[in-house]
Amino acid sequence: MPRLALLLSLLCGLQATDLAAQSDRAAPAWSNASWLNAAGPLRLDRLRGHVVLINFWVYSCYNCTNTIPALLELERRHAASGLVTLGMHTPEFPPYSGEHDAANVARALKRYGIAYPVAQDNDRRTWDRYGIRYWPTVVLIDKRGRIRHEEIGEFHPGDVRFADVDRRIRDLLAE
Amino acid sequence: MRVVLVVLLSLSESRQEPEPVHLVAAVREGVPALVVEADDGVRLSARAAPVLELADGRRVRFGHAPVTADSAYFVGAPWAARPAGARVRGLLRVAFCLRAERFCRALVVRVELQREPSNVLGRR
Repeated sequence: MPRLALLLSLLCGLQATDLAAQSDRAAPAWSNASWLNAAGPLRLDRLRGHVVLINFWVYSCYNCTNTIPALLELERRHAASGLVTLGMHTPEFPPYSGEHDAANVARALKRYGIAYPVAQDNDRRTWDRYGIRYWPTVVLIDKRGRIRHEEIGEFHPGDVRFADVDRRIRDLLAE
Repeated sequence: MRVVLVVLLSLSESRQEPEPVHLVAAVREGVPALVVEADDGVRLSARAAPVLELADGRRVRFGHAPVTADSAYFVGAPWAARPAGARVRGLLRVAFCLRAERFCRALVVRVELQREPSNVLGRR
């Protein structure tokens, strides 16, 4: 019986450790080669000291494009304080859909007024490294390069979830 | 309405749960058709409309159904003319959103049309 209790306590301990790691883990590096609104590929290690917001999206996703005004507003509020906003454009469908085409992504950036850098994640490698499952998902990375928050789904300027993300960014910038 | 039986084998992670979308064969506008039907509360994306990738390389894109005012979702079941050939086998790709959610999911479902009874009426 004591052995069973010990085993259970070890399992519980492992589980708690895993959960903590998930909520505050090192942000995986990415290696996307194709970037829009950037002179060349951006690297995560060059962004240390900044708070980084990565938006996993695809232009054909209604919830994603609905979220863009909120992202533009967050960038407007916090870019000067050190927030770096990035888009990670991850297609839902195979290449025949057009979602892999840089020209189509560029048209979407123009249509929605997106001036921040956006990477093409056509092979979903970065999506997989970050363990993303839904469009859109916003990931907040702190100045030390650790993932501190993931926001899944659509939000808008002025709503409760926007206020929460805004507060989290302010807190991370203040660290 | 003539209806055929379709085998749906999920390629998604949640193999235990029934898929929220179904491919059925029917007649639309007087022609044999394939129809993508969704469970209650499931909204199919009209921006990334369902596509059936047939095993022989052909692709069938679904549409024809009315969409929401913002063109985001189908409000009816999208359909396409049934491709020529006795057998329909391939991968059905859909992007969808549950009504209670505010994010998109992508789903890939293996489909195979097994048989088409000539005297079956009603729906599966």
